[in-house]
Amino acid sequence: MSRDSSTRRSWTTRVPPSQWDRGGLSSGRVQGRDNWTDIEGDILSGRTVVFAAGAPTAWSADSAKFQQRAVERPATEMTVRGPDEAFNEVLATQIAQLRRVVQTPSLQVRTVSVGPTFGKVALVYLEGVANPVLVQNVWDRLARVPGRTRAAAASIAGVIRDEPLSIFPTIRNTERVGLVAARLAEGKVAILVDGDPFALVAPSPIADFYRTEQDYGGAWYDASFVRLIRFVGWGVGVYLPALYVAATQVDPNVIPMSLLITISGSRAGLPSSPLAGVLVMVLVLETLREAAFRLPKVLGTTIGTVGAIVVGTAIVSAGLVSPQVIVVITLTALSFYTAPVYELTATWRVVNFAMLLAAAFLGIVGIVAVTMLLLVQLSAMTSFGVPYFAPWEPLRLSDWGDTILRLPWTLLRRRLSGPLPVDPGWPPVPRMRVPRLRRAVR
Amino acid sequence: MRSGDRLRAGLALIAVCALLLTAGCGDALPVEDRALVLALGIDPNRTSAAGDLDWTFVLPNATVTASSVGRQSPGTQVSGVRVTAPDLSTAMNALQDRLARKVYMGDLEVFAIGLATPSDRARAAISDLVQFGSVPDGYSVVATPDPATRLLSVVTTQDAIPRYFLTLYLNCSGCHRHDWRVRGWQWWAAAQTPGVVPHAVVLRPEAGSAVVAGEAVYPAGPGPALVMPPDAQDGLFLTMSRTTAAVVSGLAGRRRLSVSRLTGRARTTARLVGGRLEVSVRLHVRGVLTSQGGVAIPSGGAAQAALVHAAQVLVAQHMLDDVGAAFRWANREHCDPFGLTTQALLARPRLAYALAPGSSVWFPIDVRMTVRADVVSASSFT
Repeated sequence: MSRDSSTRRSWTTRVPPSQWDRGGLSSGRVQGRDNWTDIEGDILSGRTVVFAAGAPTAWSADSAKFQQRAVERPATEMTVRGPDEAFNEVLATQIAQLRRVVQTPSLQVRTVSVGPTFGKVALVYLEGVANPVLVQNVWDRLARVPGRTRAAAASIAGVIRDEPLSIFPTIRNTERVGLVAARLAEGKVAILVDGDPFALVAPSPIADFYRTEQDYGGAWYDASFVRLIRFVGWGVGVYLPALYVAATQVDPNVIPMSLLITISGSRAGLPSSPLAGVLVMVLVLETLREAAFRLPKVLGTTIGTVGAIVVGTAIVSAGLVSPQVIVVITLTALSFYTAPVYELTATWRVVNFAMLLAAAFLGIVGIVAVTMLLLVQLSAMTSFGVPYFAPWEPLRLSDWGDTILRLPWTLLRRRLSGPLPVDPGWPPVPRMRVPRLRRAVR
Repeated sequence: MRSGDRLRAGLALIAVCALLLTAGCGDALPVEDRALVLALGIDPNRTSAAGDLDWTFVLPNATVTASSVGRQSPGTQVSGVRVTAPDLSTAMNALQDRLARKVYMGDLEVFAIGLATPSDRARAAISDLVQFGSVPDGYSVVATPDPATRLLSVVTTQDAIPRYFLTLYLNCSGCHRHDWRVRGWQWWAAAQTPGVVPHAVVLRPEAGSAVVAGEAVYPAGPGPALVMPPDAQDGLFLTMSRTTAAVVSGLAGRRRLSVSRLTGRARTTARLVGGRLEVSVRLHVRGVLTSQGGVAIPSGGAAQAALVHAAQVLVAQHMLDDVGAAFRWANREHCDPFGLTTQALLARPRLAYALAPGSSVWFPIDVRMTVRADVVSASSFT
């Protein structure tokens, strides 16, 4: 469409109306509409609908410019190094952000409305990489999402994910553009939701929740070490309080005598059992955590410090819990946050609580029993058809290089097998020949 | 809820209840409600006509905390409770009567046997401990010439509760000339094996510490323990490859040599031939020549080589003497503290089956020894 040279603001075009989606209309996205329901929805969402006399199709052009916040840093997934860009709430901007990072014609975007008027959702994937069965599966699930309220990533995830009643998240949400781009390259699909800065990534086995964008922004040995530390943190967070309760309340013979004597001495005169002590501290900690979330940032830090030092010391001085409990709970609280995704932190807190109760009643036997139940449950779960506990069950040693560790780029030759990508191999890394440098002759 | 789900929920409930009932944790007590027994000692009761034993239970001070460690005076770190009883169960009952906490033996560290205790009573006591169930058999067994209370109550100024002197003393790896530790299960296994006799190091309390005073050997029967002399004790530990930091000092010609940091490894074979135990001992000893009667050791050259050779001969001779003394003592006392009979009986299963556990069968020992001594000069390192 070209602008007329006169002062009147009018445009003319020579492109026939039947081809206005290919030329003529100079908006970003132009879609043909042939029913009033779609036209109504488009007008309500700020698009411009152009009717041409005699043409069977009306053209809906994306002409809306919404007020939106700037592209900022992620607030929940911090990194030290690497790209640091978060999505915002506007779907068009989200797609544009992704397109800027993934500049390939293989990037496919399919949009669908959730409910009649509650917002748009985009399914994004890489054609030729993502498994078509997976894409179709996610698309079918999205198409069936009922539009009860305004579309949000969490509510959509709660409807479309496998095992919707499970406490384990089977779909990952992230606000990082780079992370979504990386997952698309692995053959996964992403779901972008208009009005929510969090994108959903599917499928997401549990190991996927321990992989962050920063792992790919640093040295392989550092990333591998950090990943191992996350797993150690998981072990400490889930098992330490339970082990403390089991050892002090049911099975003291697992503690060396010298430690047992000091623990016994520290607990002399305390009014409550080890379990009660731990529960009191968990309660205090959760209260402080919730308070720190609600308070302004500056005050939140202060409350955290006050809670950790002052309240902890005061509780010990008051003779309510032993000093060992403070150590155990502090380590546990810190360890939980080694999980990069907040949802998983919440899950492990629940598991930790079950473990704690089992330890109090059954000691080490209880911990083993809950662990076995956990393993059975995790092994039986799936995320969009992919085994949730992979690469441990089923055992896929070839996937360990980019789940438990992060091997150097030259050794990462295959994509993770979980989403069964069409092309399982990464593009090969050519052998870099370093020419022998010679002194320049003047 | 569907019937299948109801069934599944019912089964899960039954499983949880079964776990609660069968795990045996219902009567579990928190650690602060338990009286931790650190060490146990037995002595014959002189006044009892029924042959009762004096049982000494050593309990740590229950008020020790991480911040008060080292501030307790020696007299308040541990307390010994002495009861007279014929066996372990009765003794524990008597102890329980005196305490407000439940007696807990799950972390017993030391079991001391008074030397006057009849051998069969010592064997019965350790057998009781093994069968008691909740006492792990990793505790150390020692013997003591005085009433066991005196040794068990030794508190030095170097260590304080929660670290117990006797445990540290026995577990100190590479500190003493031999590894003195004999675990409860080792003692019990030796007592149960036909022809083998258990043994334990004799520790004598002395000036707020403990001194090794031989090796007590417990043959089957009601007699008292036999005590090995020091050279035979050295030979016994050499044969068992438990020499970790011995020192040999002596004259080689006119020169006084001292070889330290001696470690020994022994390969023994034993077989029964014509009712006699034919034993072959191949010793390999390593040590460092550290001094030469106050004169510096020459570094390198023929002089040093001659000196090292002399030291090797000295060490080899010393080791041969010690091992020989041990076997001579064993033959004289008709017992096998080395455990060689086990090795021989493994090749004769029919004979082994015919012998009752703990029977006092004994085979005379014929021994052939080979010693290889590797000595290096300390000056080679400098």
